Amino acid sequence: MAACRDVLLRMPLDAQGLRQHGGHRDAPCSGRPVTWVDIVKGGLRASMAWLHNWVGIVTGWVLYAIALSGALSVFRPEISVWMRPELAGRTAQAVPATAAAIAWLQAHAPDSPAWYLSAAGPRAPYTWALWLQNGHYVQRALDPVTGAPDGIRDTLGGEFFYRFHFQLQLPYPWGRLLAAVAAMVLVLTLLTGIVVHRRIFSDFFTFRPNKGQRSWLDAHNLMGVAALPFHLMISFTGAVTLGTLLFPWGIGAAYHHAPGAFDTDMSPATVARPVSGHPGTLAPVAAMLQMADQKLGRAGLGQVYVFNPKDAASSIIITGANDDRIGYATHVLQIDGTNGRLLKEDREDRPVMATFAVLYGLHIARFAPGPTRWLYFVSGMLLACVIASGLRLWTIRRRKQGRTRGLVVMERLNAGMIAGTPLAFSAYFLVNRILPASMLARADHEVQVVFIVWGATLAGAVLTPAVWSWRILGSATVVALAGIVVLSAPWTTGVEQGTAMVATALALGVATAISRTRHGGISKGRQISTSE
Amino acid sequence: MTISLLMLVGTLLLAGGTVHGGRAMFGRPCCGARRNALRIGALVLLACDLRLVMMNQNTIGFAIVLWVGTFSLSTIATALICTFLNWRNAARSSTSHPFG
Repeated sequence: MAACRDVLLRMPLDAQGLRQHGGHRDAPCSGRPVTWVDIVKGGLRASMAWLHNWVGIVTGWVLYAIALSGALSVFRPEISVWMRPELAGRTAQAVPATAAAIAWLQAHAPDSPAWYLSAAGPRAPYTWALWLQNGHYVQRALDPVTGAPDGIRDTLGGEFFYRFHFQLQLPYPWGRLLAAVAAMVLVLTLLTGIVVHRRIFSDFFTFRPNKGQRSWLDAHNLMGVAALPFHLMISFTGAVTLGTLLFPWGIGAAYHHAPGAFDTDMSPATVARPVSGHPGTLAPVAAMLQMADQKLGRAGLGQVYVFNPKDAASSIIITGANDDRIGYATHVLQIDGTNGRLLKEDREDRPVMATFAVLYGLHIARFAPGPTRWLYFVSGMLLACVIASGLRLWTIRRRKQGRTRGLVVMERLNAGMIAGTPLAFSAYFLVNRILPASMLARADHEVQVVFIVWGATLAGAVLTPAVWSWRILGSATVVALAGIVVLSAPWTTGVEQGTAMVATALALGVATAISRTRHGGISKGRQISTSE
Repeated sequence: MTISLLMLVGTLLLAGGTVHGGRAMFGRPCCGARRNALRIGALVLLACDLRLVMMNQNTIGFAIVLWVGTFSLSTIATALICTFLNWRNAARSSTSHPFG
């Protein structure tokens, strides 16, 4: 046992954390590999620095993509409208638009076991619908007047970023599990970062440009500390949101006798009645939706799910929107689809569930009015920048110790990932306007383009010196963002203006970063290029 | 707008109370009493700002989320202002001492 511990304690580790973050007095300078003994001797801060560096570098790329897509999904409805120019300038009322959508689904998708609808609203002048057709789920935006998808291009719009943010385009449960682990790791990285940052208050407002590694560290610390409350909140609430995937054993232990009972306990009104096996028809839904709208009050309709529409036990479950409170889905109605009778009404007032609803609501920010939404977006972008600067800093520090093959690959992949992800996401916007509007499986092709561009940038980055990748991919991103600005013309609606403004700001930011690299600014690009 | 300006003034005062910020704003770090006065002034302004945000929002939760977000942005803006002031101070001193 003691021998095993001795072997474990003498495992070689990287000395960076010790040298960079206050453990330098106890760190070995003789060149021998750093061991666990050194880490322990270096004290808490050195241990945390080691953990911060390694956990950050292992999960940094995934976290970067999650943060970037998360920031974009704050404007999910707006992006969806931008990507459907047919809907530009239109408005929709939730009740008539949802009634029209249900009428269309009754005629065109009667065999689907359920129709899942997101009601139209001031930000989204369409009903977003999901139903089963020929064994496959179909997602389409439905016209607020006719209820049909005709004339509206097939695209996932902002839904892509939202889904990618927590599913990473991977099959269930792997994508969500990976996102959940990444969220937990982000909490850990932030907490260790707080311990590591010794001068958190005295350097609170400090940024020293043109000083190479020092500038990167200042930028990393400044963005990390300034938006720290947001970063902690978003990572913790993200982990809580996917908590049942991280810790499934409690549910397994308590509900092993009846797996469905957990869902019933969590949200009693959202569990539909079982199928009766007898045919039935839906009563006129407009009256039911009107009644639900009145009961939900200021919040109005959020989600409308119609289960077993051709069965005598059909039920319509309506979740209130949460414009008036942070907590999400705290008011749910269940209506008998055949006669419009209210079956259940659930107002969440259990303390633990209400707390969960608030944490979830804080994460998805559906409650957020305009200014708060922009703050979410900017803070999310800052988080992406913190992760990107941390990844860059990691390679810059190690370069001083010598250039190894592994470090070169790491630098190249860093460039491909950090500069390639915004390029791939920009390509999603561009291809939306380039592909013919009536193309078959158009939404799938749009998403495929994102991954083709992403794969190409990564492959290209591996084969190209990092300094060139930064410039080439950065320049391509600027061109793509400029393309988005041009495609947003005629800049008459708020969505077009907002998209053009954000794309312009990002293009200017990336262009400035490229020019600073070219002139040996924050990144000391010339030094890097000569050594590579 | 008033809320954002109040927040920015508050964070600028807070920055003035730090070593780096004091050097950027006043040419040298502030002494103890002045530093404390700046910090207390900053905290009072930030508290007033929070109160104003609460009065303008429907719920306390909305107000706190908005205030924290605005504080983050003000911090970044203040850091950039301090960076600019440092750069200007350095440019001035190099002009006045060309061989220094």
